[in-house]
Amino acid sequence: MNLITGVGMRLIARLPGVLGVMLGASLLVSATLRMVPGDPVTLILGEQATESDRARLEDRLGLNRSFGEQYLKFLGDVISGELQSYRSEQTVFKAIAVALPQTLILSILALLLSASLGLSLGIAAALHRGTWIDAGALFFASIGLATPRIWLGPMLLLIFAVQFDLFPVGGNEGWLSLVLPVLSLGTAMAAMLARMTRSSLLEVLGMDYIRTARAKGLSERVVVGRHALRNALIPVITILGLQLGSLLAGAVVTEKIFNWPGIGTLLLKAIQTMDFPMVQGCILMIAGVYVLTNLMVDIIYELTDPRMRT
Amino acid sequence: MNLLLKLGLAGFTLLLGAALIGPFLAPYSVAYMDISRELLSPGEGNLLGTGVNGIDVLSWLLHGCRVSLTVGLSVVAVSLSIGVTMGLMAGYFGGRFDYALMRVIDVLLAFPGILLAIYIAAVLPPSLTNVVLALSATGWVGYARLVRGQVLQVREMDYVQACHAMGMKAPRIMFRHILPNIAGPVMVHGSFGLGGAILGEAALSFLGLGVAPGTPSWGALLDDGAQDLLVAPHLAIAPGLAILLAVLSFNFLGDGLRDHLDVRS
Repeated sequence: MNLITGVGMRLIARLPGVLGVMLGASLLVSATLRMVPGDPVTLILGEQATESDRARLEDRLGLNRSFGEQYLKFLGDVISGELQSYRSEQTVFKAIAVALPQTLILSILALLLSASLGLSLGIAAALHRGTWIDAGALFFASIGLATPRIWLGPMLLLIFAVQFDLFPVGGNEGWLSLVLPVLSLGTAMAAMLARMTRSSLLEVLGMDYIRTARAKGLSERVVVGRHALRNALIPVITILGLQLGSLLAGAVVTEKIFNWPGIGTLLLKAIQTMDFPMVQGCILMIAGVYVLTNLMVDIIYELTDPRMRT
Repeated sequence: MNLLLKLGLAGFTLLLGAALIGPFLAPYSVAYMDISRELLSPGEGNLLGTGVNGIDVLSWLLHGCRVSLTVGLSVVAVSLSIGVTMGLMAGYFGGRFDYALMRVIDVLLAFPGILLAIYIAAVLPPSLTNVVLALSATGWVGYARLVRGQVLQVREMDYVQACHAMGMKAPRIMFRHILPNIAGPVMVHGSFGLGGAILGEAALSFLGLGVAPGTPSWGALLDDGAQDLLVAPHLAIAPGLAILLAVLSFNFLGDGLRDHLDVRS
C-alpha cells in the first residue's frame, strides 16, 4: 500500500468517529446556551423594544421553535457558514477566518519553541544525570510547569517591554510583537516536554538493547542518537501533536494579555457583548482544529511506527 | 518519605494555615477601600501596597488563599467522586455503559484545556459555585479514564474473582475491594488536579469569568495588576507568586506521592 492510499484509507475509517464527536460537541454547545439567564431578544433590541419588533426578531432567530428545530437550524447555519452574529452584520465565519490565522501563527511558533527548548533540555538532563545540568533542567521544568500564563505574560511585558523597551507592549506590529506572546505561551509546554523527554530517555537508556549496542562497541553518539533517541522520542512526539490543542486554549489568555488580534480576543469580546453565536462559533472552531490535529497526529503515528501497522 | 513529598506537604500545610487563619491576621477586611490611597507601592500601612479602589493587597492575598483552596478542594472532590464512580462502573461492567461513557468522554475531550470551562463560565453568572461547576465539567474525565484503565487491569485478578465466588454484590466489590487497590494513582492525579484547579480558577477570574466581583481572588487581583502594569507593577507580582507557590506545592506533592507509592504513570 502506498502512502497516499494509506492516509486516505485511515481518514475514511476515522471519519464517522470525528463527525460524531463534532456533532456531540455542537449539541453540547447548543444545550449549554439554554442555561443563560435572560433572553437574546432583549439582549439585542434592549428593554424598550416594541412587541412587534420583538416578535419579528424572535421569528428570525427561530426562538419560538422547539430545541430540536433550533439545534438543526444552528447546525445548518454552522455548516453553510451563515451563522449570524448578534452584534454585527458580519457572519461568524468571516470574523473567525480573519482571527484564526493570527492564533495559529502564535500557537505553531509556541509549539516549535517548546519542542526545541523542551527536547534539548530533556536530552541534556538525561545524558548528564545527577549533574548540575540535570538539576538546572529539572528546576526550570518545575518552575515552568507551575508558572501561570496569566502571570508570566505580564512579567515578560514588565521586564522586556516596559523596563528595557525591547518589544512592543501589545497588538500585532510585525514580527517583534510575536516574541513575548510566544515565550509566554510556550514556556509551560517546554517545561512539560523537558520532563517527559528526560524520563523517557532515561528509561530507554536502561534497556537491554542499549547495553547490547554499547557491548558491540558502538560509539556513544550512535548509541544515543540512533538507538536510544529514536525510541525515547515516540511518546514525546505523540504528546507534542496533542498539545497544539492546549496551546490554542492557552492562546485565549495570552491574547488578552498581549492584545493579540486572534480568536481568543474575538471570543472574549463576544462573551463581553453576549454575542452568543460568535461565542459558539469560536468554541466550535477551536474544538474542530483540535480534533483534526489529533486525527492527523494519530495517522502520522500509525504510519511511522512499525508496531502500529496492521 | 522523600524530599518532594516533604516539600509538598509543607507547602500544603502552609496554604491550609493561611486559608484557615490568614483572614484573621489580615490587617484589613476584604470590603475595606480607600479611594484616596489607590495603587500605592508597598510601604508603611500597606505591606504589599494597595490596588484598584485602594484595597490592601496583603489582605486580599490572605483572603484569596481561602478562595483558591476552596475552589481547588471542591473541584477535586466533585471531579474525583464523579470520575471514580464512572470509571469503576465502566471498567467493572463494561458493555453498553462503558461504550456510552467513552463516547461522552470523546465529546468532552474535543474541547482542549480550559476551553469548555471558559464557555460554561461565560454562560453562567459569575460565582464561586459556577467556577467549581465549570472546572469540574471536564475535570472528572481524567479520573474516569484513569480508574477505568486500572479496573480493567485488576478485574481478572484472584482477589476480585474470590469476591465473586463469595457472592458479593458489585458495589461492595467495586468500592471496598477494587478501589483501595487502585487508590495510589487516583491520589497522585488528585494532587496535580488541585494545582490545576487553582490555575484554572485564576485563569477564569483573570478573564473576568471567575468569582463574582468583590470576591478576593488571586486571578482577579492579577487581572487588575495586568491592566495597571505601568502605574503599579507591584500589583501583578504578588498574586502571581502566590499562585506559583501554591501550584508548585501541589505538583511537588503529586511527584512525591508518585515516588512514595511507586506509581507508574
